[in-house]
Amino acid sequence: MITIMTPARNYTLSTSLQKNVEIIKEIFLNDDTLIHRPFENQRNPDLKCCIFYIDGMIDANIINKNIIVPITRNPVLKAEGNIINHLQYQIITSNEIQKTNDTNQLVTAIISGDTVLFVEGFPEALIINTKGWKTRSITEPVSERVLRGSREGFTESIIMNLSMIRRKIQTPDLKFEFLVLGNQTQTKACICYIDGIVNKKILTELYQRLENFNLDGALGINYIQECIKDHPLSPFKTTGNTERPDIVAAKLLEGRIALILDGTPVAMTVPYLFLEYFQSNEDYYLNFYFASIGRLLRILGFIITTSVPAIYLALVTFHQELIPTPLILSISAARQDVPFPSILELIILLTTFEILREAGTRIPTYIGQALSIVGALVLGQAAVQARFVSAPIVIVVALTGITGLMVPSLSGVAILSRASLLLLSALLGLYGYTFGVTAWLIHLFRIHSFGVPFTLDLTSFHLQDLKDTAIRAPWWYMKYRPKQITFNRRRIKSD
Amino acid sequence: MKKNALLFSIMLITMLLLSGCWNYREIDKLAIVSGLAIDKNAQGDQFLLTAEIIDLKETMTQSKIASRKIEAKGESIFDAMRNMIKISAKKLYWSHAKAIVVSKDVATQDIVSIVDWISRDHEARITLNLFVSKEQTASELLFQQSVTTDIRSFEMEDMLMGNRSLSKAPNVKVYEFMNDLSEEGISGILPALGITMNMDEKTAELSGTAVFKKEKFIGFLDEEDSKFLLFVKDKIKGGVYTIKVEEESPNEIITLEIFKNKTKITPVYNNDILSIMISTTTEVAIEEQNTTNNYIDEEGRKKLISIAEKTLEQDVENTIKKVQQDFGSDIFGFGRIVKAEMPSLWKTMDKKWDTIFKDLEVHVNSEIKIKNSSLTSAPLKVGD
Repeated sequence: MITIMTPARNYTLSTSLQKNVEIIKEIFLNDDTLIHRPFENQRNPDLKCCIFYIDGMIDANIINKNIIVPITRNPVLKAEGNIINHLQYQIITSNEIQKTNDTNQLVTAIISGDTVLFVEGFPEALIINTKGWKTRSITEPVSERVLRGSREGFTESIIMNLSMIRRKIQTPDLKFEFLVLGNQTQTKACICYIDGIVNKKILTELYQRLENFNLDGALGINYIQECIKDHPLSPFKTTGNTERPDIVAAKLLEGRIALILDGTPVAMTVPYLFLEYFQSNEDYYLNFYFASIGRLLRILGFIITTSVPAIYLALVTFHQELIPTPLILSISAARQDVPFPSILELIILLTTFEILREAGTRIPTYIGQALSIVGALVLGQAAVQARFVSAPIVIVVALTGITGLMVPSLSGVAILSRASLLLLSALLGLYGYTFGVTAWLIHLFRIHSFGVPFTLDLTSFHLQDLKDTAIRAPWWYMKYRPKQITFNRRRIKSD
Repeated sequence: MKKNALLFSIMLITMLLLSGCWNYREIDKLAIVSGLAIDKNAQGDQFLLTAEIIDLKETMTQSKIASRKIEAKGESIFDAMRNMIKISAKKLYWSHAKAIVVSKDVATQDIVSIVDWISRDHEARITLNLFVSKEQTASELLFQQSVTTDIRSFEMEDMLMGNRSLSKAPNVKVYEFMNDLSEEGISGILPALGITMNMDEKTAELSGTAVFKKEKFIGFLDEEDSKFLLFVKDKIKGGVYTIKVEEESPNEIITLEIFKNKTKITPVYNNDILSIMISTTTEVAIEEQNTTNNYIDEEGRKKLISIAEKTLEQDVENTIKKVQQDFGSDIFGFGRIVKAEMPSLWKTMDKKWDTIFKDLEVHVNSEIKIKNSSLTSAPLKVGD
C-alpha cells in the first residue's frame, strides 16, 4: 500500500459538508486544476454531496456514470441512517472504494487521480478509483532496438510497466513492493524481485539506501541511481538501466532486483556488473555462436576506442622502431608539412568528433544528413587535403569514433579513459599508457555494486562462471545463476 | 598520516617519471635511415660513412618514396654519424635501417667497432644485415640502380630473404655474427655483395660469402662453395642442385630442387685421430632434365640417386678442403661441436685448433630422397 507523507497539517473533518469543502479548498489553495462538483439527489435534495478531483487525472465517464448518475437519479435514496455506508456498498459502482477520515489520505487520493466524495452530515469521505489519464502507447524503445526480441518497451505509466513484467513472469513469487520517492514529487516507485531467488541481503541494502534518498524530486531513474551508487564519483555505473520489460524479466530471473519509477520508461536493475555493459538482450535470442562473436566484438570495440589514439600517439612519437618499416614510411610521408604536433592533432580531431556526435544526438533527423556531410567531407577530406591534419590521424579518430558507438552506454567512460590514456601516452609513451591502463584496472577491480564485486567472474577459471561473460554459452549449459547475486543458484530443474 | 601519504605519492610520481624515456619526437622530424656504407679514407685514419636516407614526398594523390645519400667523415663510426646531422638537419633515425655494407678494408680492420656500435646503440637493431663489399668501396653499392624498390638498402635485405630458395649466400644477421665472433671453435661469415650488369646498367648482387678469421676478414667464397658451406652448416632451406648424370656425356644435366635438408655432424675420436663425420639427408624433386632418358622409373631413379649422392659428397668435401687450405678458418663450427660433445678432448686442443683444423679429416655421407618429379611422371618423348 502506498503511504505518502504530505505536508504535515492536521485537519479534522466535520459533519458539515460546507466546512469539509472549505478544508479541501484550503489545502489546494491556488491550484486551479482542482474541480469540485456539488450535487443532490433529484427526489430528495437533502442528500447533499460534493466530489473533488483533479482535472486531467480522471476518467470523466466513470465519474458521470458511476458516481453522479446513481446518486442523483436514485428514486429511493434518503438522507437518513448511515447513508455513506449505503453509498459505498450499494450505490456507487466502482471497483475500488474506501472510506476514511484522514485528510492526508484524501489529499493523496485526489492528487493521484482518485475522486473524493463528501456527504452532508458525515465527518468521513469516500475515495473512489477514477484514475484515467492519457498515456503513451507501448512502442519499441529507440535506444534498444532488437531484431528478434519482443518489441515492447516501458512507458511512463508505472502500472502499465508492472503489468508488462507480470505478464512475462507469472508466478506468485514475483513481488511488487511500492514506495514513494521525492519529497515534493511524491513519485511512485516499485521494487520488483522474485522471492526465493533474490538475495535478501541485497534487497535490504537497496531499501536502506532508498530510505536515505532525500531529494525533492525523482523525475528520472538517474536521480535515484546517482544517490544510491556504491562509488559516487566513479564513471562506471553500478546500477543498470533498461527500457525493455524482457531485460528486466531476465534480470529478475537471475536474482537481480528491479526498480520501476513512475513517470519514466527507464527501469533500474541492481546489482549491475561490468560485463553487463557488453551484454545485449539480443545475445540471448540469437544463436550462441553468433551472440558470442557479437559480444567479443563489443569488448574489442571498447578496448579499441579507449586505446587506439593513445597507442598510435605512443608509437608515432616515442617508439618509432615498433612500427613496421613500410607503415612508418607512409605515416612519415603523410605528416610532412603538417603544422601541429600529433598530440594536438589528435585532441582537436577527437574533440571535433565528440562535438559532431553530441550535435547529432540532439537535432531532428532531417538535419542529421547535412551534419554528416559537413563532418565527413569538410572536416575529414578537406582538412587532410589542406594539410591541417595528417591522414592517419583521421583514420585513427574514425576508428575510435565508430568503435565508441558499439557500446553506447559506455561512451562516458570511453571518453574519460581515452583522454587520460592519451595524455599519459603523450607524456611517457607506451610506458605511460601502461600506467593508465593499470590505474583504470585497479579502479575497475575495486568497485562493488551492492556488495557484489563489479568485475565478478572476470578472473574466474570455472567454466560455469564464464558461461555468460565474454561469450554466451548455449542455454542448456547455463545451469547456474551468477554467484553472489543469488544463493538459489540452480537454474535448470534437476532430474 | 596525511603528510606520509603526500610524501609517498610524490616519491611514486618522481619514480615513475624518472624511469621512463622523455623522448617525445615527431616522426616527420626524423630522417629515417635505410642503410649505411662504411669505408675508410686513403690514409686509413678516418671513417667515411654514406647513409641512405628515405626521402618522402607526398602529393595529393600519391606518395613517392625515394632515397637520398648523406656522406660524412669521422674519427670513429659514431662521430661520423653525428657529423651527418650537419648535412641532414634532421636527426638520423637508425631503427629502420636494414643493411650495413662495409668495404674490405673496414672488414679487415674495424669489424669489431661496427658490431660494437650496433649492439651498443639503442636505435640500431641487432637483426641488421651486414654485408662485405666485393668492390673497391662499400658506398658504390648504394649508388647502383635498384630493380624492385627505390631504396637500395631495402632491396639488399630482400635479396637475402629471396636467397632462401637459392642458397648461394649465407643469411647472417648481426647478432649471429656477434655470437660466432665471441665463441670458441667457430669463425664468422657474412654475405658478400658485388656489382653486376643488368640490362646494361650496374646493379648490386648477392655473391657468395665473406670469410673471417677471428675478427679479420680474409677472403671470399664463391656462390657454389657458399651453397655447400650452407649444407655443412645445416642452413639449406631451398635451392637448386644440378648434376651431370653420365660420365661420358657431360651435357646431360638434371636439375634437382632442394626442399629440405638435415645435416648432422659428429666428431669421431679414434686412435688419437680426430675426424668429423657429416651426414646429410636431402629431400629433392626432379625439376628439369635436358635428356629424354628416364630417371623417374625405379631403375633410373636409383641411378640418379646414387650419382647425386656421390656428387654431393664430393662437392661438400671439396668446399671443406678449400676452406681448410685457403683460409684455415673454421667457419663450419667443427670446433664448437667438438667442444660440446667432447669437452675433455677440446681442452687439450683448443689452443692449437687452427692447426688441427687445417688437417682435419672430414667424411661426408649424403642421402638423397627424391620426393617427386613435379607434374610429369615420364620424361618428354622426342619423336621423329
